Amino acid sequence: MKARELTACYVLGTIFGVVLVQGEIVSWYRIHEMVRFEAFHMYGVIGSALVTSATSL
Amino acid sequence: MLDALRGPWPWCVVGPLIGAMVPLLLVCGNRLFGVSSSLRHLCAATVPAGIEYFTYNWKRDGAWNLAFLAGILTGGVISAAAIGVPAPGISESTRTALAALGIHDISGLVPATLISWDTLMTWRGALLIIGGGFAIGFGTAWAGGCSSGHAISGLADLQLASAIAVAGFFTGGLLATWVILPRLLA
Repeated sequence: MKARELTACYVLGTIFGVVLVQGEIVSWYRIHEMVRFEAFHMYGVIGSALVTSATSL
Repeated sequence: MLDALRGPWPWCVVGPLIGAMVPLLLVCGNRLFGVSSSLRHLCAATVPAGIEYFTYNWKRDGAWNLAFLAGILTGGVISAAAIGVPAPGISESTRTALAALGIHDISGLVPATLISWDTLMTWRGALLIIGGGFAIGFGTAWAGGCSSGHAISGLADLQLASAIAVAGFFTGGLLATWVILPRLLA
């Protein structure tokens, strides 16, 4: 029971980790660019993530 | 072969994948998506030191989060080692702005001129790395959440406190980018 939940969370975390790096979410440059309002990328991520999770709730 | 997966992935793919974490974690264990509480769970699991804030059933309430965190680390390592870190897909105007700050080598996830094992030994680097890390740890603990917990879970749940926290994140980012960083790099 508990082991299953922990494994599931571990797998989800792994997917999240891959997404964070390949999506450049953890990129210092992307964050800097976002605060400078010089690109849409990060806002697009946050916005579509919000829409996805709000719809699911 | 795996490097065909290398990013940068477009926002319309990344965003929904991150958003999907919210319902998936709810389904897997009725857990609310968030990462910053992992610091509290780590402290409770290792050195609670008799502090009330760390005295709770972390195995019941936080073990899932530590497993999630371990997964993030695994995913990060797989990403970097097997797939490869994507080349920063940032705009020309940002590259110009960074060059004006003295950052010319735009590769990897962080600028090596600012953040590396070598710069950690300098005052400026230590301030950025240790100071920055402290600010994140302190701030997210005080705010009760990070950009995952507040900006994604909290806002999707229409929490006013999360909206205020996100406004705070942006204010801090603006301050750091427009006020602190230029002075630090001058």
